Amino acid sequence: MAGDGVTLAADLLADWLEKKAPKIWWFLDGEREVSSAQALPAQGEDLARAFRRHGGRLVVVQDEPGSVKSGDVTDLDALDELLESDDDERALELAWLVKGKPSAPWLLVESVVNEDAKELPPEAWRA
Amino acid sequence: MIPPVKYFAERLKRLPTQLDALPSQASSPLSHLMLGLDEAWGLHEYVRGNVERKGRHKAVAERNQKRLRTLVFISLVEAFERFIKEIAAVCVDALASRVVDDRLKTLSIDPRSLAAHFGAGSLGRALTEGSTWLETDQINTRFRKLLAEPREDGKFFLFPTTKKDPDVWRGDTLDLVFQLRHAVVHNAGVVTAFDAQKLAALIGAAVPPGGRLTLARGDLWYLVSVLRDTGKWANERVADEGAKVLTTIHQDAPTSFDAGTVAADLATKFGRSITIDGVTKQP
Repeated sequence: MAGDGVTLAADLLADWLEKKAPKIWWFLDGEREVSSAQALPAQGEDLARAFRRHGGRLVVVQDEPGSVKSGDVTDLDALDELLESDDDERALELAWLVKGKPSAPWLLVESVVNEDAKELPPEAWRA
Repeated sequence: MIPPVKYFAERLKRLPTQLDALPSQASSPLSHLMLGLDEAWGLHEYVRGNVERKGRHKAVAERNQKRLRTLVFISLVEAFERFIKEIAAVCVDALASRVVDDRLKTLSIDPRSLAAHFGAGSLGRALTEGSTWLETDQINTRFRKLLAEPREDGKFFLFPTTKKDPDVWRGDTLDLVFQLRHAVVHNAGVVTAFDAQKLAALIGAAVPPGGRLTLARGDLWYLVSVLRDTGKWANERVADEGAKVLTTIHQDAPTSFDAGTVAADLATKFGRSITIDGVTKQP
């Protein structure tokens, strides 16, 4: 995949969400496939299941052409390094690879619900 | 697990009591309009500035800004509609107790809403706030009746209807803007076959149905400029016509009201000098 940017399997993203951020609420800004089946915002563990069900491959969108990296990401620590952190909210801009080409970019971003969650009484979290 | 939606629903019940005080500009319709336009445009520019400074996630940022521009478009049109209602309310308050004809019939309201509005202390607000003012024909009909000379049916058209009038473009542009607003508010920005038909008639060119309205930054600025200019223009016309009608009423019955007091009140509300039966007051 060298030359196609940084790519990864949806399963790897699912593993990352499940292991590194299972109780964090996430939002998919502009994503239209996983989010058509999974209500958002969703906790990492739920989103992980949704990504795993969907499968497929993703490409990391890089804004600065001069620093474009390429290659497959295959382990969680490498994926960790790709996540941007702004005001304590982690984010990653991604696009689905459809027939090897990136489709419209979208954002995996920590949801503001996480802040609200700190104020909620425990009974509010009962499903 | 699902989000704690029932708890969120409870929190939403607080919304009706979460009210900011109205800004001081709200006492004058034109100032209120300018504030509304500035706030909506300012929101757009603030977000745009911050997004561009960060310079990240360009595609996602542009998609979200497109959506924001649609929302700002609605806010701009709403600010203008509110302005039209507010200048109509000023006219009602100035004329209602000084005329004996049925001019207020042009403003329909159900009795329950009227009773609820008495708390606001303004008959004008009671009669104008509950209805929509988003068609220039209807706006013209209401102002024509409202600002008719006593015992006449009215000749004043806020938005000119003759094609030769140099200001006819204002009403034509508002009709287009109001129709675009309809598409955004009722169909999430999708131009339906019905919208397409009406829009085509308004612009004199074919409009394909089924697409989603997309606004550029410049489009918002054009709209701000048109609404700002048309707001000032309409404020002048309504103030002049209102003063003219009040002059006629005062000349018919000079002791019925104090021209200076009414002129001073209207000068404050219209933000310009008002002359009633030879008595001029400044804001």
